[in-house]
Amino acid sequence: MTVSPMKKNSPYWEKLEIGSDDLQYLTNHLFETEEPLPINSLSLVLVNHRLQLLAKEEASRKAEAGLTYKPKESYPVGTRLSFPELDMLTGVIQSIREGDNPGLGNFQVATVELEDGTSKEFAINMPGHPLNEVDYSAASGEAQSAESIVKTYGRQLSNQLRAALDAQHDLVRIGDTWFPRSLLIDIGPGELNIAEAVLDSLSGGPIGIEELMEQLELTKSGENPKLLAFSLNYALQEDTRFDEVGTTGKFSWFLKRLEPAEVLKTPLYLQSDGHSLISDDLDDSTYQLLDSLDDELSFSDEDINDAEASDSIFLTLTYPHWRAGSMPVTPLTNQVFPTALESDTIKVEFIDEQSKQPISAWIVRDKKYVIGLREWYEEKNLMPGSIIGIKRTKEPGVMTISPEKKRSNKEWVKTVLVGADGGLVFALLRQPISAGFNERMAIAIPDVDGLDSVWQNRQTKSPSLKTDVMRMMTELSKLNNQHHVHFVDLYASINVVRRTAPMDLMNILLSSEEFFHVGDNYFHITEKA
Amino acid sequence: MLKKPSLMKPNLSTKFAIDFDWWKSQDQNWRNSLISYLCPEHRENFASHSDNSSFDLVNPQTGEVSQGDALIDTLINHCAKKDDFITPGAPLVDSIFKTFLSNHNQPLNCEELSKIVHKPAATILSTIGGFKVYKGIRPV
Repeated sequence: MTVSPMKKNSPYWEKLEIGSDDLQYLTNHLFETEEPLPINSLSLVLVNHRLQLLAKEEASRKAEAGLTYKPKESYPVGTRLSFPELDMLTGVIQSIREGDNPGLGNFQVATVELEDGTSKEFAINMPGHPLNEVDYSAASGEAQSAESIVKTYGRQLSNQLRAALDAQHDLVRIGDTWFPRSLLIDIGPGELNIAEAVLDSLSGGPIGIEELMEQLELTKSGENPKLLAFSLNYALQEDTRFDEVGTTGKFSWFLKRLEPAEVLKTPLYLQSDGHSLISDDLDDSTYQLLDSLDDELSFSDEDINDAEASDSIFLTLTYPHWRAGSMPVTPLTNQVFPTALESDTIKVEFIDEQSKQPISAWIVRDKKYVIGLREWYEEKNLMPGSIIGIKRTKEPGVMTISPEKKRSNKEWVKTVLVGADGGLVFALLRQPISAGFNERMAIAIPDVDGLDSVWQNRQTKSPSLKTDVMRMMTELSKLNNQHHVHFVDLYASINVVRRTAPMDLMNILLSSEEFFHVGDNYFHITEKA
Repeated sequence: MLKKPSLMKPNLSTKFAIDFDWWKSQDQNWRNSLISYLCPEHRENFASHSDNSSFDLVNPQTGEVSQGDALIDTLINHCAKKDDFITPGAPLVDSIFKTFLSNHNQPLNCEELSKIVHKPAATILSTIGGFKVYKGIRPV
């Protein structure tokens, strides 16, 4: 590794490569301290280690490079100089002559043979040159502390270090905390069986790690409590009976087999054949339209995880989520949902903003939904198309929830009527309204059981998406004189009978001769069809 | 090689700068004219030199020495940096010329010059955009 003083500045840390020597140093550090360390603390240890190495290498380099060039100094022939402004080139003075410039007064010119074989002339004995004022000790980064480096590059360093640590086997990880495997306190099958019994008695959990340690009477062992917690967390993590359901930095355990069925298996209404993410090839307005529908099927994990946190959001319910009692995990909702480093399931709590009653729910990250809100939707008389507000609280796993305010009255709303043969008819009927709603996505469902039967029957004989789209277009086109159907109306309605991603629906509309786009996101059935 | 005059008529967005090579080739009095812009200290130093084309120029960033015209170098890197170099109420051509010396001869259009010398852009254009070239100030 070549290290020059200038590399202590940003390019050095931006281009840092973590090698086996670094990992060995961190392992030794953890052996010495005997305490599990989170990734940000390990990053700090790494930066301090690298700064020590840099200081050593810089000292030896300075000794080799000779004097740092300053125009005000006078140097004899044969002096070795280094030139910080020329990327630390070094060279030896071969000759010196008087400078000649009536505008610059008296000075000398030194001819220097540089290490790359070229020769250049430099001014010396020149007190008025601006380079004399440059302080290279500050520019080299010697003043930078490890803390300030971690503050600036912490996220990048942590990501790199995490990847490097994941690739080795001597250190084990719980969440974002690491420790040598060989120093773990042994947690035997007996303790894990008791842990299962404890969680069983709590109807599955959740239970925090400190409380579980007390229940298992591990705290009386006299071991370092942090090491004990780490070892127990690790043993629970390696045992498939247990599921970590806490938010980032907060370990909380649940018995996997007692988790709600809709956590373990995606509810029927949220199951989808297609998963087309929104294509980057779409024009801006179509992209925005599909994006605004906030459908979890439209987004990659990366899109969702990149969401910036915010204090509150508003969400429009679709039929599948309304029926399943769920919410999508999308770039929008993820702004208020808590994060978790390891677990795909997080136990959370919503607080009804009006009644202050808690609602227990689960975020199922890998399947991109939050489940457990069915009773609350019914209690609030919500329907598909209703708008819900969600706000963060100071507790990461707790959010407040409320329907968008609206005076209760009756409105003309698309209403789904289920025929005796299972066929669906859409009609505009006056329906009681209890919350604010999106007019295009609002759909009243008077016969939930009838629609449930439709979904059950379609499990065995499911028509193609194109067939369903044609049926739905035919139904919806009857609701206005022009027989045009807006994409959002169609999206909301098709999801009443099958879980459909916006992109899959758009693909059908744009690729089939039976439909044509009449503008402003309205579609029409062609004469041919 | 000298840049040929442009056939395009300059407008308010045409960039101008001092074309020293052109000026040297067209005006035998260019050197005396330039010396008059030096600060008193340097004016005395340069008065006794008739040719300034191969002096030691020192790079202000690196300290490297190269050969070149010390008069222009001193004017741009020293005298033009002084606070009293551009004086209010000076003739328009003088003000424009000094503006280019003080900004390392970076090209500017008449709108940009107008904001610096506080004269209407149209007046500046009619002065330096005409057939007569003052002090080597030409379209870039």
